[in-house]
Amino acid sequence: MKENTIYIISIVLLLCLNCFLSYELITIHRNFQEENIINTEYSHWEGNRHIVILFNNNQCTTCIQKILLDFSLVKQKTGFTNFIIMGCFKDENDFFELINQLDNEFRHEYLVDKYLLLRKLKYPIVFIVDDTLNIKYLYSPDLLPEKRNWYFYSLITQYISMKN
Amino acid sequence: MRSFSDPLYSVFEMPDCNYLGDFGTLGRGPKEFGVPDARTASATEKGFKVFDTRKGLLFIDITDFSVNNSFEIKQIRLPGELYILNDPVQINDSIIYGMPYVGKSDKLFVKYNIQSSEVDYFGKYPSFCPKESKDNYWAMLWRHSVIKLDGTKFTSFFARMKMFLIYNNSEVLEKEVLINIPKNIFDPKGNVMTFYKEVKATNEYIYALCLNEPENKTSLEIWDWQGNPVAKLNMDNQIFSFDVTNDNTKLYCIDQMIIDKIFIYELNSILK
Repeated sequence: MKENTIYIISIVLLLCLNCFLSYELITIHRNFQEENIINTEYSHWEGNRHIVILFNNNQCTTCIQKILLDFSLVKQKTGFTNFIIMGCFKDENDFFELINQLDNEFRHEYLVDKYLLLRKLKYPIVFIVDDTLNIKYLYSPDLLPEKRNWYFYSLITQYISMKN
Repeated sequence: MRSFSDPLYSVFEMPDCNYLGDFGTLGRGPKEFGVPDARTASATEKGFKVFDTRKGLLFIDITDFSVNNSFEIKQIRLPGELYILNDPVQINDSIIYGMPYVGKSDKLFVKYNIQSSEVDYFGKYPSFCPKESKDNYWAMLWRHSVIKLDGTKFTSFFARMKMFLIYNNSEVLEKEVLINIPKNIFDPKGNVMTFYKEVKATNEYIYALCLNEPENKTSLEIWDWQGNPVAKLNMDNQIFSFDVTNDNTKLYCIDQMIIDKIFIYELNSILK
């Protein structure tokens, strides 16, 4: 009986935690849209879909590298090539120094550190920018690691295979 | 000391070890190597395969090397979840096994399906592992795994304790062999000993290089795939790395101290 109770409490706590983390991602997504960052800085992306990793200068290099590995594998499996590495750094040189350390084959874009929202991000985030510059499927593998495989190899892969 | 630009691999023609040349440099380019793990290298029909912690599983084709010193690389990328995968083995065209990240799973093994990109975990920790020492499991259960050539089984020999496990390719544990589990091994202040250093296998036997601390007497243990002991060879030299021919007739060894020689042992008389 006692074991059952502990088991049920654990499941409830886990669900609450998942809801909280999902809510955090939704909040980031909403704020991101409200700040209108993509429309302001990247209007030249219009007409094409892009998959973006965004990070600032406080985040772990391994977390970023792991996402780039997923990008490479998605690229290999689907043939999609519009991946963008986007960094929000105080110093542009720090961003390019990090880019040189990373194993990657993708385009990169420096984002001036003027958005409070991006400075506050704790983990790198991934999202899709569709052809009308809307942000879709914002996700952070470090917030919801158990969804990582589903996100990259089911959701993203299926989205890419859909016609523009 | 080797420099950054020195070649990574030397090619010798078997069975007499005639030197043919060198190849392979570190880098990020398509025909360069990131961080290849020599312990995971194994022969293939066209050359060898090796796990590179940055690039994934690499198949190196050296069939034309003797003609024009050329080589080709086929790369199988791994997902981010398996970045710097430790103790990887490929059991067939689709499945790779390895060691989960620290704290990532309460299972012994991670399984990756190359075709479906699915990542799964399996294998229970040995029953003698105290639950309160969970933080030390990863380091103390460091191991060296190898597959049976026909892909039906794989085995893991442990570095910090003298034990090994044999699994079949359905991830079912077939045999657990415990020989020497040092006392207080999970105590963070306890002495850490080294037992198994490298393992190779054929369809008939498993070859495990063992340091046998604290005696420091290097031996090569030979086991069959049912977990039965076959032979124990006490080695005179300090073997750094070794491999064995698929027909169990020859053993090729590299010494830790004498680095300009390859030692060849005949196994015919031992494994009659």
